[in-house]
Amino acid sequence: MRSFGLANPKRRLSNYEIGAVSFAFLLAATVFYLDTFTEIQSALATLYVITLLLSAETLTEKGTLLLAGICIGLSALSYIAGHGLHGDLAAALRLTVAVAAMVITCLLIIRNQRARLALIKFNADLQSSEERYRTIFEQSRVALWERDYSQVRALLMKLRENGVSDLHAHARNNPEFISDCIACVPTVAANAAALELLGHVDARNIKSMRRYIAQDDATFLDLMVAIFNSESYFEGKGAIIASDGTTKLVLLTVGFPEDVANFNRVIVGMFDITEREMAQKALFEAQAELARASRAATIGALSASLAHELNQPLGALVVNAQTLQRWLDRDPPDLAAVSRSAERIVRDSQRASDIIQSTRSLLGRRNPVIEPVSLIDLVSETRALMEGELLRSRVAFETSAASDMHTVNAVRIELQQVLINLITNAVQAMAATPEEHRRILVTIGSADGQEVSVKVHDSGPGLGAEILQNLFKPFCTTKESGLGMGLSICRSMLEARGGTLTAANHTEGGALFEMTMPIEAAVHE
Amino acid sequence: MYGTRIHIEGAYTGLLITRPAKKLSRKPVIAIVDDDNSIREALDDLVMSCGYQSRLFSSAEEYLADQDGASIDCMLVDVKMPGLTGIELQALLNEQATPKPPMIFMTSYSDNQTRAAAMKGGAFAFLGKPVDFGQLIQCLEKALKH
Repeated sequence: MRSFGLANPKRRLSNYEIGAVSFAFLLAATVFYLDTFTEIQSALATLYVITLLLSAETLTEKGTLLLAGICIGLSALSYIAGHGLHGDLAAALRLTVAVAAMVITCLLIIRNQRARLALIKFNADLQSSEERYRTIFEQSRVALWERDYSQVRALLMKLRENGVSDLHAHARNNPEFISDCIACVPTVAANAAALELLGHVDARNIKSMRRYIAQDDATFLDLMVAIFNSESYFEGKGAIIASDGTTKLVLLTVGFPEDVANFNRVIVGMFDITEREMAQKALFEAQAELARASRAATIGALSASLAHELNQPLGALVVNAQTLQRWLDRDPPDLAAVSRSAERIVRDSQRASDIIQSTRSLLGRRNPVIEPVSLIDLVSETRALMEGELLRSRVAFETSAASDMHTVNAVRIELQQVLINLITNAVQAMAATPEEHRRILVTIGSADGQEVSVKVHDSGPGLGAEILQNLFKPFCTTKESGLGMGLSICRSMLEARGGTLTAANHTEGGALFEMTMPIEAAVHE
Repeated sequence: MYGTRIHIEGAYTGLLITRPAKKLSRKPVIAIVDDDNSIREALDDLVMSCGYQSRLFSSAEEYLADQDGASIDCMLVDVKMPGLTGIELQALLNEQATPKPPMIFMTSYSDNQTRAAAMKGGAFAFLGKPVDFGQLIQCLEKALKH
């Protein structure tokens, strides 16, 4: 049977098929008998079509063709037996109709069979593809979720229709917004890695993401914004809370389907980067600590060496000046001695000035590199550098760029030092501010065509009148462990490049520091 | 500058400071031991304006090498110098049989330990730098009366 390929390659025929085929053969035999041995004047042979139709499901293409050939042969045999080779026209026409019906049926059956085979193959492919997908989904070491974003998408689209254009602002004004959104995202499935990431919890427990996402999570809001703006892809870093209560940092990737209907099964991938982030943070902190320590050490060593070097000529100066007075006070004044003392005073002053000059050129030898600095990048790098500090102090950090003029030619490290100083000050100034109100807003904008300003606005108590007056003087500090040199150094550093640093209290409260720098930094030899 | 100085010293030499004249006039001689030239010269001028005579040494070693130590009436000594320090110089002089002149120390680093060491070694005074002018003159006068 198989070698001829007449019947469908199935192990067993079903009872229904056996019955249908038996009936078909019985019918064919009956038709043949009636057609051959009775005088019924009608196109009995047409009934072979039923035989063909009944066997269609059981037979292959070849089988159907063979059966059709047999049926046609039988009709022809009946015709010859009944009418001989010189039959009447009516009988010949009936035969022709019957044969035509059988040929057409045969062709239709074959076409139908081909379509059915194609469909079966397609279905099998789809099934194996689904299996492959399942295998990948289940066995991937990346935590994967299937989540239903259709509700939340509908919610967001409704907001858009209602005229909301800035989702961040909307979330600020509606504290419930994020938690509402989180509640609208049911989990369809999660793989083993995902369960492991959240701390081995029962699959049934993760029907909702509500308990795994912090209510103030900025990344989740960014994800909502991506959906809101119909983006095709989202990638971000977020924090999730595992079932044991620990917070883990994850890299989150979501690919949104093109077809809106598929938003009910969106794949969300998470990769645990806690350790990497921790290591990086520790590195950043160590670097910052090292920089601070080396700055302090440099200042200490520098002032000690300057004090020592300057003490000699200054000491001589004082003695010379006072001796000069003694020569003058004589009666008569010893003018020759006065002149000698005066010359020494000039010489020693020159020496003191030379010491300062050579110290400056020694410091300047590091060859500051003036390069194009994107202020937006600078601010975000500085933020990354200080993320640990900001997180620890629970300070919200926002950046806004007011114009498109964001690049200056400057010494990158100098600007960064000033920014770090201002942000550190802001964080420390808000120590007594309630956590939910701690906020630093960094605004980048161009003051005019020649210079760019960066403002750092905190939500702390602002600056007292006395502090405001002495803020930039050396050794002015409000901190117990502070040297009081930071702002003074920052200001001179900016001024040396043609910039400024000013402080004020913001009209809405908090301190406002503004640094401006020229588009082209000044270079000193 | 040095031309002027030589000229002026010349003027004094005639009147006051030739060696035999010094001993006769009993003009007090102050030894100034400091590694810094400016300080040496300034102190030299100061001592001169007080009517005393000075002898300049740029190091403790130079002072020790001098054969005429007995003619010194008082010493102004810098504590911190390359080579022997002022304190070490004091210790060496204390070991010698000949009596040493009163020593006035001057230093930019007036830590208590150094001060204690100097006073224990018999220092006449221990002054911080930059030197308080009035204090120094008073000190000198007292030391010479000593």
